[in-house]
Amino acid sequence: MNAASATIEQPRIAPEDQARADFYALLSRLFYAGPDAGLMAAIAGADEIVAEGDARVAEAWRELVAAAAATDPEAAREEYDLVFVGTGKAEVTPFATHYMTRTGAELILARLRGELARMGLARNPATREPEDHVAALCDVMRHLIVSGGAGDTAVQEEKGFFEGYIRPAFGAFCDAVLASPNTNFYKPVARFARAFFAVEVESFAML
Amino acid sequence: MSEKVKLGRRSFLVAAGASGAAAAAAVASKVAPQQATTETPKADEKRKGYHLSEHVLSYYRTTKV
Repeated sequence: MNAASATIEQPRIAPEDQARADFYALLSRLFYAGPDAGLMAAIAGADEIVAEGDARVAEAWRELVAAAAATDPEAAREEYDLVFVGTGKAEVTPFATHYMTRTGAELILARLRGELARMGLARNPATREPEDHVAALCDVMRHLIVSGGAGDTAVQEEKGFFEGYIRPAFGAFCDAVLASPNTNFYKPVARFARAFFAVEVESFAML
Repeated sequence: MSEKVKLGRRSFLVAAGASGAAAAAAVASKVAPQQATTETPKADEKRKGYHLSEHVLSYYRTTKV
């Protein structure tokens, strides 16, 4: 089969799942590199989220939108580079295994690679960073949501991946971003991530 | 899982923010196309480490085609 023309049939997904996938895509992008002007303008101009119950995500979203409107994209990019990029030691490392101390990082990475292989996912050959980068983990979640549909197995797969790699790490990662003296724009990003992931934790617990 | 459980989870997700589906979609639509252009190496490229020319949404590609 011609790889370029091959498309994977996407099952129709519910609006709330599409929103989750979109939030994962946004977080993946923001934790992969600093935002460009187009993305900042899109966030700044985004609609409010009207919460019908739990307002954590809605409030964090409002704060993120306001921060995007008030931040120069170039400053946000410099902030990203200063905080998350470093040869050897970044001030805040974006790799999940760093925050998962119970098991050795190598063991977790090996397990993660095995799972990705089982899911049929391979690292982009041009990508050098290890698979436990938070941007990569969010990207896997996005992929699982949009490709899996609403079936029981698909949702359990999402839950398993989230519980295995994001849940054990995101609290400490977000705390580190919030504690950094060098983060401005990324503080509301981290607060939004934490609020969104907290909703994910709760919704998976219902399964 | 039962229909009741599924419905409970769905209504929880909707209540918590899926009414922001449009907001999320508008922003996510800017994620992919922007990346390819902005992450191309610049002449004054001093970035190291995790800045690559690949965009993150193809961080993984499926091998099941």
